[in-house]
Amino acid sequence: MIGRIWRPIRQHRVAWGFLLPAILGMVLVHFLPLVQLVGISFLDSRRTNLGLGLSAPAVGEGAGILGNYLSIFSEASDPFHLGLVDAVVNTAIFTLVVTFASIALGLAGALLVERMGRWRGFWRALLMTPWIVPAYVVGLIWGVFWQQDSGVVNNSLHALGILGEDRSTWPMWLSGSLTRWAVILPAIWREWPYALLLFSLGLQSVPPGIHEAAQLDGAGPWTRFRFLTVPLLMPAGSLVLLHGLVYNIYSFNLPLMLFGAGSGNGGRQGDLLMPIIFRNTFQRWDFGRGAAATVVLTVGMFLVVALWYRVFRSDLERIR
Amino acid sequence: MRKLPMLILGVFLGVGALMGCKSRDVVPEGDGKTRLRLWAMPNTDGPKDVLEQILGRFRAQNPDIEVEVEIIDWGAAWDKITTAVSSGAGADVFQLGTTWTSSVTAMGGLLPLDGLLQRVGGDTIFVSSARSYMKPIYADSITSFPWFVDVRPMFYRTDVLAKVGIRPEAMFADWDSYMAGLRKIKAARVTLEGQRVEPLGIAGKDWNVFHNFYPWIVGNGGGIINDLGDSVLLDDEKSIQGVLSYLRFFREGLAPRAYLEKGAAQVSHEFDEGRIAIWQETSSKLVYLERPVREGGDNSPGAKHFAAVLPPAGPAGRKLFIGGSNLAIFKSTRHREAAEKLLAFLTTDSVAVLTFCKISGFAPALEKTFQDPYYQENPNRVLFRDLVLSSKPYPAVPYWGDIETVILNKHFGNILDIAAGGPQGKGGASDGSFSEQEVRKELKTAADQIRALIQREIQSNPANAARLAGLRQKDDR
Repeated sequence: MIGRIWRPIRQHRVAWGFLLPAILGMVLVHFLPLVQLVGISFLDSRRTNLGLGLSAPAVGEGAGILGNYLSIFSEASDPFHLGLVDAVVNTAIFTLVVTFASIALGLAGALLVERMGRWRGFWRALLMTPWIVPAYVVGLIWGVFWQQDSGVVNNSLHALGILGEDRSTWPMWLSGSLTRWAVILPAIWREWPYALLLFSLGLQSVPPGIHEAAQLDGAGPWTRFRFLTVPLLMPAGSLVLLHGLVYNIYSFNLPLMLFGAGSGNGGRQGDLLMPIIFRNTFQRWDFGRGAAATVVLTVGMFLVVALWYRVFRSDLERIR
Repeated sequence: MRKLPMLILGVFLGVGALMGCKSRDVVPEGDGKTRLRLWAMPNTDGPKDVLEQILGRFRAQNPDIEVEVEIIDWGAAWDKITTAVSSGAGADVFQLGTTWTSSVTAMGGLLPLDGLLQRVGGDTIFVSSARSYMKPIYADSITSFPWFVDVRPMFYRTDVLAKVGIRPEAMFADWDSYMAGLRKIKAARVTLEGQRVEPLGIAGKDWNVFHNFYPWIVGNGGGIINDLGDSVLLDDEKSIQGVLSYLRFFREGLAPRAYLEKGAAQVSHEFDEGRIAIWQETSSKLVYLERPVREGGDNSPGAKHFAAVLPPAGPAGRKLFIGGSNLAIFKSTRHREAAEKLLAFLTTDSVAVLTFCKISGFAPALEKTFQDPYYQENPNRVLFRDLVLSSKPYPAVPYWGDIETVILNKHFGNILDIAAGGPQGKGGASDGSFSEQEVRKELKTAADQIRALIQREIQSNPANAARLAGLRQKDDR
C-alpha cells in the first residue's frame, strides 16, 4: 500500500518537490482550520469560557456530543435557532433566483455583445462595471437606492408613471414583504456581468463554421441556439452555475450593509444564513454552535458541489 | 516565461518585507520610562489628536510615564478586547462600551479597581446612573470607571413650535402633552423655507433600534428584565403598552413611515435640512449644531433654529436610555501602578473629563464636572445633568449583549416591519394601521427566548446561581 503511494512520488520527486510548498500551504491554510472547526463544533466554547480557547470542555453530558448541532436545529429557545428557518428559506430562494437570473441575463448579454462588432470589447468592459464594485459598497449604495421617499428606484417608477403622486403609498423595499427582493435584485445587478464574461469567452471559442454549416442545413435561429449554442456553452454555464451557488449561499457583505447602515438586520424576509451565523458566533461569542452551524453549511455545500459535478461531469470532461 | 522569475522575486520580497515589519506590540523601554498603551475608540473627530491633547497634562504630571494611544474602530473593538482578555496580550488601559463591561468582567481578564476607587474618593464621585456598570451584577470587584455617558436629549425646531403656537416646556412635559403637540404640528401642515416640516423623525432598523424603544417601555413602568437580571418583564402588559405607545407615532402618521428605512445618520440629516420638527439623538449632536459657520459649522435650517430639551416623562416618570463608555485595565498589564494613574486621570481629573466632553459632546460621568459654567450657563447643556440622572441603565449582567444583539434587535426590527405594513402585519397598509396582535406575539416570542437564555446562563454557571441567590436574599431584606 505504502509502496503504491511512495513509488510515483519517488519517480517524480522533482515535481513533488515543487508541489510540496503548495501542499504544505494548503494543509496549513485550509485543512487544519477545517479540522479545528469540526473540533470546536463539539466544544462548549462560549463567552463565559473564552479564555480556555481550544481547551474548552466538550458539550454537556445531557445533550451528548452532538449537543451544539441538536440545539441549533431543535431548541426553539436557543438564540442560534432564532430566525434560522427563515434564513434557510431566504438563502435558498436568494441563491436560486440570483444564480439563474444572472445566468439568463449573462447569456442574453453575451449573445447581444457578440453582435456589437468591433465595439463589443467596449460594451463588455462597460457592462462589467457592477461586478468590480465590492459587495459591501453595492449593499451601501442599494440601501440608498431603495429608500421609499428619496430612493432612485421609487422615483424612477414614479417618473415612468407606475407609482402615483402620493409618496406615502410608494412601496417600502427595506421593510416588510419586499425585503426579499431588495436583497435579490442588487445581487443580480452585481453578478450577471460575471456570467456575461464567461459566456462571452465561451461564445468566442465556438468555431464560426459550425453555425454557417447548420444554417446551410436549414436550421433556424432558435434551432441553432437550442442545439448548437447552448450545448457548446454548457461548460462555461456549468462554471457560472457553480460560482453562483457557492457565492450566493455564502453571501454576507451585501445583506449586511444593505440594512440599517451595516447592522445587517434584514428581518424575516431578508435575513440570510451567513449574517445569522456571524451575529451568533462573533457578536455573542458562541463559538461551539457557530462552528456546528458552519460545519452543517459546509457539508451542505459539499453536497451541492457533488450534485453539480454529477450533473455536469460529461460537459467538464469535454473540456479536457 | 520572463514573468515567472519576477513573480517569484516579488513573492520573496513581499514575504521578506512582511517579516521585517516591526510588531506593533513591541514597545521599546530603553529610556527608563514606563510605556503604557491606551486603546480608545473614535469618539470624536481626530480621536488620536484629541486624546494626545488631553494627555499633555498627564505627561507633565508624570514625566516617567509615556502613553501610546491606539485608536481602534468600534466594529473591531469587541473582537480585539475579548481576544486580548483571552490571550493576555493587549493594551494596559482600554475603553469599553458600558453594556460590554459585565461580559468582559465575566471573562476574568480585568484588574480589580476597588483600591483605586477608594483612593479617588469612592463611587459617589460619579453620577448614580453611571455607577451600575462599575461592578456588574455577578462581579466581586469594581472592574471599570465611567469615562463618559451617552444620553439623548430631544432637539426641536424653535421656529416650528413658535409658528404652531406651542410652548416647549408644556409640550415636552409628559407623553400626553407630547402626543398632543405632535398632532398639532401635523394638523398645522407647517411649511418653512419652502419645505414641508413633518412633526417627528424616528430611524428604522439600525444599531439603535432597541435603544429607541427602551424609554417608552421603562417610562410606562415596564422593562426587559429585572435589575438582578433573573426574570423577564418584556411581556408584561406595561411593557407591551409602552411599545404600542411608541408605535402610535407611525400609526397616527406623526413620524413618516419612509424613515423606517433610514439609519440614524440619515434622519439626523433630515432634521438639519429642516424636514422634521423634532428629533432625538445623542448629546454630541450639539457640538455639530452649535459650531459657528465660520468654523465650518452648518447653516442649515436645523442648525439655525434648534434647541435641546428633556424628553417627556411617561406614566412611570422620565426614564431614559444611557450608554457611554468605561475605562478598564487588563489584568495582564505589567505596569499596574502607572495604568491606574492613567485611568484615574482620564476618569476623575475634572479638567481632562471636561476637555474630552467639550470636544466629543458626550456628557461627563464625573459629578463635579456639572458644576462648571460650561454646563451651568448654556441653556442646551444645563439639562445634561437631568438627562443623566433620569436615565435607567440596562441591567449589568454578562448576558445582556446576547439579549440585545440577538433577541431584542431582531424582534424590535420585526416590530418595525409590522409598523411599516410588513408581512406579519395583516392589516398593514399605507394608512399606518397594523396588527396589534402581531406586535404582542413578537414581544411574547422575544420574552420566551430571553427567559430560556437566562435560565441556561444561570444553570450553566453554578457560581452565578450562588451569587444570584445571595443577591435575592439581600433584595428581600
